Amino acid sequence: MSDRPALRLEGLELSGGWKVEKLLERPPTATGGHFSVSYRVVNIDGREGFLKALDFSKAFQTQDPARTLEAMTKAYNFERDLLNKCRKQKLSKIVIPIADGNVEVPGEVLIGKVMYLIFEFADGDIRKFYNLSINLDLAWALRSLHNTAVALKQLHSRGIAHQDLKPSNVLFFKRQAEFKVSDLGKASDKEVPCENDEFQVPGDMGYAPFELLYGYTVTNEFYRRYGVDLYHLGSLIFFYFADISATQAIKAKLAGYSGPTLTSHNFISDLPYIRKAFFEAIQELEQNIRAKAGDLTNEIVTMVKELCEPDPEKRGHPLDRNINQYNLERYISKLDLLTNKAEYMLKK
Amino acid sequence: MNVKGDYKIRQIIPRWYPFEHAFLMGEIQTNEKPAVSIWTPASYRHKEQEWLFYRQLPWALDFVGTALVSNDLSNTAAVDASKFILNNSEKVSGLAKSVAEKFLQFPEPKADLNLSPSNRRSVIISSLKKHVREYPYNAIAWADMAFYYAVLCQNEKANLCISIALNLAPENRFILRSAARFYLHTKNPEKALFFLRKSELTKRDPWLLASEISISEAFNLRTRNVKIAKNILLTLDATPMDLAELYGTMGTLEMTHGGNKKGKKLFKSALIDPNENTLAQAEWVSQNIGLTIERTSKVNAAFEADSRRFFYDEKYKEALEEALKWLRFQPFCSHPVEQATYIAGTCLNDFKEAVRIVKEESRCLLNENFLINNNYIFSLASLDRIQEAEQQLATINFGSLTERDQGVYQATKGLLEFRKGNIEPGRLLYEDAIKRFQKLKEERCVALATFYLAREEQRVGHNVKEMTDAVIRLAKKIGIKELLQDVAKDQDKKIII
Repeated sequence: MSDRPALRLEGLELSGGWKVEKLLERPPTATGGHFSVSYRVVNIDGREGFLKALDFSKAFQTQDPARTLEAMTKAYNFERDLLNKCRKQKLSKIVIPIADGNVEVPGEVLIGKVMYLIFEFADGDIRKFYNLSINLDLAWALRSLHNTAVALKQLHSRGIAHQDLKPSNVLFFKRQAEFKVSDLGKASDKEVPCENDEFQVPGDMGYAPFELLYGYTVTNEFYRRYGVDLYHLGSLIFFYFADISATQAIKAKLAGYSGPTLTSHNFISDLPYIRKAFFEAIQELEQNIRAKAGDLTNEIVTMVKELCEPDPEKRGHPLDRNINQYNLERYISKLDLLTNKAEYMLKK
Repeated sequence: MNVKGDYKIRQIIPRWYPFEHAFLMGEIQTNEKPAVSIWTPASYRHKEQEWLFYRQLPWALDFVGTALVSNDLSNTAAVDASKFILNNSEKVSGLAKSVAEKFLQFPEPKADLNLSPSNRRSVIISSLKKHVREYPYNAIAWADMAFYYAVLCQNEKANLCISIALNLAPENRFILRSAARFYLHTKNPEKALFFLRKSELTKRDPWLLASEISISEAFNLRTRNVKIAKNILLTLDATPMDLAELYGTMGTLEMTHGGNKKGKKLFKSALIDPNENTLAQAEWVSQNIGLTIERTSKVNAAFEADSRRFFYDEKYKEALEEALKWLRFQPFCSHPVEQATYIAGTCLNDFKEAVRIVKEESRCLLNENFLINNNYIFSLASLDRIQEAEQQLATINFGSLTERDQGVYQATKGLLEFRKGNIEPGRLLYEDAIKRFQKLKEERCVALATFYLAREEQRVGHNVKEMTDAVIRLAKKIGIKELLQDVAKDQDKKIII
C-alpha cells in the first residue's frame, strides 16, 4: 500500500456521483502538474472524466515541507480559480473542470484529504494521434491549430496568458472532432498576481521563445505574455511538420555555427544569430510543409514566420503591430480558411 | 613599382569577411564550456521519465531537443535518446535528425577561406538577395551581401546593405566590425568610429574595443577607451583568443609611444592564442622591437603573417604565394594586391605575374587604388607593353594624388619614356621623382626610384655604378633586402670563384 494518499483513490466515491476507476500511470498528457496524480473517473450518468488529484504528500519529501505545501496550495488555488473563471466565461476551447472538491482517504492520519479537479475525458493529446510528420493528416493538424488559436484568443480576451502551450497541452476529443487547450498551471492572470509572474521561463523551456531563455523583456506590460503564446502557437506548426519545437529547431541551427556558446549572453547582441538560425530552420521547414500542404505552403510559412519571429517586438501580424500587436483574429481566420481548403482537397 | 604595405605604423584594423569565415576565425563564438541552464527542472525530469517509459520517437525528440536547449550535453539518457533518433532517422524530419546530431556532437567549423572565384560572387549575391526578400530581418545576410558587393567594387550597393544590417543589429560584434571595416574601405573612419562608439557593447567587448582604439590610432583620432581597455585586460574573464586583438592593440599603442618593454609584454599575452590579424601585427612589430614569435597553436588563415615572415626571410616565392592567399581572403582590400604585385615585380622580377594578379584577381581595385594602378602600369611598361601602359596611365588624375603618389607617378612616367626611347625626358622625370621623395624624406621611395632608374640606364648601356652604390648604401641603411639581391648574388659568385 502506498504511503501517498493521492495514490490510493481507486474505488472511492466522490460527490456529484463520481467514482474513481483507474490510476492513469504516466499518461501522455501528464507533463503539466508535477505534484499531481491522474485517474479515470466515471459518473453514475455514464459520463467519463479525468481526475487530477493534488499530491500533498510529496511536499513532505522536500527540504522545507511547510513552504512547499504553501506553494502547492497557492498553485492549486490559483489554477482552480483560473479554471472557474474560464468556466464562468464559458470558454469553449479550454479544458475546464466539470467538478472539483476533496475526498477523505481512509486510514490517513496526517493529511487524509485529497483535493481534486475533474475534467471531461479527452481521447489524448495531439502527440498520441499525429504519428510523426511523415504521416501527417494536414486537415486534422490545421483544425487543431485553428482550435488552439481560438482557445488562446478566448484566454487573451479575458486577460489570461497560457504560457505553456505545447503538444501535450492540446487535447483531442474524437467524438466532437474538437481540440481544446488544457493545463493552466503555468498561466498568468492580468488581474491576479501569482508565482508564475515571477519566473523567467514559466512554461516548458524546450518550447520557450529565446527572449525568455535570455531573460530579456522589452516591456513589463502584461501583454508581452501574449507574445509568448503566439510563439508557442507557431511552434506547434514546427511540431507538426518537423517533429520538434521552434526553439529546438533554432537551437540546432545555432549549434551549427555558434559552437557551444555565442559571443555574449545578451539577447540583443545575439539576436542576429538567432534570426539567421531561425531563417535557416524556416527554409528547411518550408520543404517539409510543401511536401504535405502543396499550394497552402506559402500561407502556412508566412504564419510561422510571423508567429515565431525571434524578436518579440516584431512578432505577430504586421498589420496589427501598432495597435494590438499580439492579436490572433487574423490567424484564426487564416487557419479556418486553410483548414477548409485542406478538407476540400482531401474530399477531392 | 611601389608598396604602401610597410605602413609606418600598422594597426589591428578589424578584418571583414562573410559570416561563415567569421565563425571559422573565432569571432562569433567563445571557447567557454556552455553553462547548463535548466529553467524548469521538474518538467525536464518528467520528459526524461517519459522517454524512459515510452521509448518512442516523439518522447525521444522532445527530451533531446530540450536537453540541447538547456546545454545539458552530458545527460546519458539524452545521449541514449539521440542515438535512438538517429537509428530511426528515416521516420523523422531532417530538422529533428539534426537536433540529435548536434546534441551528440557540435560540428567542427568548415569553410574554404579562399573565397570563390569572382564569377561565383554574383551567384552568391543573388542567393543572398533571395534570402533577404524572404526574411528581411536577417542582418547577417545583409552584411554578407555588403561584403560581396564591396568585393565587386559596388560600394554604393554595399553601403545600402551595411546600413540596413546596422539598423537591424546595432549591438552585434560581427555587424559592427563588418560595418567599421566597410566605412574604412570607403575612407570614412569617422563613421566607422561613430557606430563603434555609439554601441553599448563596445565598452565591454574586447574585440570591439580593439577595433575602436586601432582605428582611432590609425587615423590620429582621439579615443577615450584606452583606460577601459586596460581595465578589461585586468578584469575580464575571457579566453586568450577573445583578448588577443586587444592585447595586440595595446601593445602597439605602448610601442608607438616608446614603451617597448611594456609592448613586448602585451604582445606575449596576445600571442597565447592569436587570430591571424594579431599574428600579422606581431610579425610587423617583430621587425621593430625584436619580438620573438613562437607559434604554439595553429592560426587559421595566417596568410598576411606568413607572407610577411617569408618576405623578411627573403623567401619571395613563398611570400608571394601567401600574399595571393591573403588577397583571396580579403578580396576587397588593396594591401594584399599592393604586396603581391610588389613581390612579383620587384623581388621576383616577374612582371607577367604582377599583371596577371591585377587583371585576374583584383580587376575592380585597379581604378580605385593608385598604387595598384601604378604597379600595373609599371609592370606593363617593364614588359614593353607601352600602348596598354599609356592608356592606363591616362586614367590617373595627377592633381588628385598625394605628394608621395605624385612622385611615384613621375617615376612610372619616367619609365614609360625610357621604354619609348625618350631617354632624356625619362631621366628628368625620374630625377624629379627622386627630388620629391627626398623632400618628403621618403627614403624607401628614393631607393626604389634610384634602383629602377639605374635599371633603365643600364638597359641603354650607361654606366650605373655610382647609382647602384647609392642604392646599396640606402637599402642597407633602411633594410630593403629585396634591392640587395644582386649584391648578394655577386658575393656568392666571388666566394665560389
